[in-house]
Amino acid sequence: MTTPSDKTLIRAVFAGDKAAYEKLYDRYAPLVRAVCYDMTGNLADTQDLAQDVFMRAYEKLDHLREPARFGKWLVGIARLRCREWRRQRLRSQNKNVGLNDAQAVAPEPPDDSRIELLREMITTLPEKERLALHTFYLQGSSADNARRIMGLSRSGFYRVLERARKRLEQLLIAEQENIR
Amino acid sequence: MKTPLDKDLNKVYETFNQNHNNLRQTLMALLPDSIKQHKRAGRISHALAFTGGTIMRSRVTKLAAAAAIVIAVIIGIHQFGGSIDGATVAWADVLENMEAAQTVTFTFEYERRYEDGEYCWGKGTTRIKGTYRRADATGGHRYQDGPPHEETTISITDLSRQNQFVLIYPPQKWAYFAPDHGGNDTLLTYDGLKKDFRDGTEESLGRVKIDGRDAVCFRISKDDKEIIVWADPDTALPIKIERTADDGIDKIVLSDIAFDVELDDELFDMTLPDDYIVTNMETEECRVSFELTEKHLIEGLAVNANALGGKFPTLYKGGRRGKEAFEKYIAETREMSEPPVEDKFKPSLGVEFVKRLPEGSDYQYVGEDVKLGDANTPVCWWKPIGSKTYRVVYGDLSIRDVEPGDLPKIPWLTEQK
Repeated sequence: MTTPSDKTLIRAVFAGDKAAYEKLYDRYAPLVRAVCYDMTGNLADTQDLAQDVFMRAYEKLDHLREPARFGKWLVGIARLRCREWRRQRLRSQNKNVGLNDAQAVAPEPPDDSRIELLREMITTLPEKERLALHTFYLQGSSADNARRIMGLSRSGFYRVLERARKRLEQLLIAEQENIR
Repeated sequence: MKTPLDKDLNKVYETFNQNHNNLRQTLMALLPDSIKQHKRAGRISHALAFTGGTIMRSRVTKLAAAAAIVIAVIIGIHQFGGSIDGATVAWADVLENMEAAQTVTFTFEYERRYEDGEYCWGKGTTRIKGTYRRADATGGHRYQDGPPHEETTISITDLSRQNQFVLIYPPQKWAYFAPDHGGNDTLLTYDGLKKDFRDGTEESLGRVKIDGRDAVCFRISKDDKEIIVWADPDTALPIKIERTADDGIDKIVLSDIAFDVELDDELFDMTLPDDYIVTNMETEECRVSFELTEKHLIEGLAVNANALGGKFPTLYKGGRRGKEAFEKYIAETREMSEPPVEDKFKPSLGVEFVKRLPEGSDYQYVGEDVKLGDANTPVCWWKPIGSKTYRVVYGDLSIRDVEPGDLPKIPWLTEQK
């Protein structure tokens, strides 16, 4: 059975098939969460923001001019929503000076320290490289899907991905040397 | 084969799948059954945005709150105030997006009306990729009530290679190469706008409709320029930009703006085809892939004489020396009318023919003030290598072989020799 394209699913959503949006959610929610995590650095806020992004995308679906570029459009909405979140948070911090930080931020679930470190390192990469990693590892290691979301040629995508991986390797080596 | 880093990265990304099914279920329960009810969904989204993030941390509380919000929406209670739409786009978001984009394409249209009646216009497409800029344009100008002149060009520059630049005229198969673009306005429009955006002062004009689309609008003021930017409220990317300057005399509109589209490297290839005539603007050297003949000289002389109202100019790769002659020639070039597009490069090819005459050809230009069509007055001459006679071009553009002793006597030429 072939996987329906984004375009087909969006047409179905417009035809009243709400389940088609569920499929789009399954396809892109992890990517949207990864993009949001870059900004928030914590999983609780990430999940909230990603939900909001999908809400907003649903509302605005009739604004999407090229259904085939749904993934890219969604990432754009995620970035914008994250910036709003950052501004709201700054305002809130200013208002709540003295609030116990432990109350304000939910504890993170326990995690493998190396994985956690790697996740933190990804947030330090340039945006394009981060997105290359997100799209590649969250789209079933499919360069074709990933490059479409990023709007890059296949070779262009691999160049960015390789650059990101090299940078991560260097960061990991530097971290290990620090520990020693 | 997967490397250890691949395995670790897969684990990293597994975390973004945590709780996925529950989250999906929650979201789908909140969405209206039909996309046509999106206005109602908008209310839910706004409410969720308001309650989420910094206020409620407990997942259970959130679910309860979400349920309460659904009820509130259904019974039509708007308790949160402010824009029901909820989305806000700050100018900083637009700027940040523009800075982050790796490629940009847009169509442009510009016009400028000068006080003396000259009018310039142009339209085309600009593509930007990294340090490359490419503009495919059709533009022209008209002096007062004169005929309009329009031409099609492609210009490409690479800002990383000291602004290396090519200007191509595809219909004429002619190109200029220069080590620097010299501040080409069309190519650098977008860079100039970004600079004005950084340096100018902005004002939000709120939500508007443009070309049937919702947009957020900003006005940026910088020096004598006013720039209006319409941005997509969902992505904070500009849809259209309009810049007016100089009290409205100068206007450019950028539309169909797209970011991070795939652009083939070949679009920015500055290698010029072999069958093009290429002039190096720095050295003035000209690459011509075919043999230049007398025909090219005659055509070049004819174009210049016609442009000067039917008389030959004071200089044409030679002529009377001295400051007075040079100033007269400069005045003539100002008087010259624009030749038709198809003749634009003919004078340059004629000059190139002269430049390529072998040493000892004794080329002389004596056409100053000679009338086009005058069959008795010479315009120029040269002696082909190995020939005993000179080839003499007359005012009627005929060429005759003349013995050296029969060459006309030109007083200033005798003095100069």
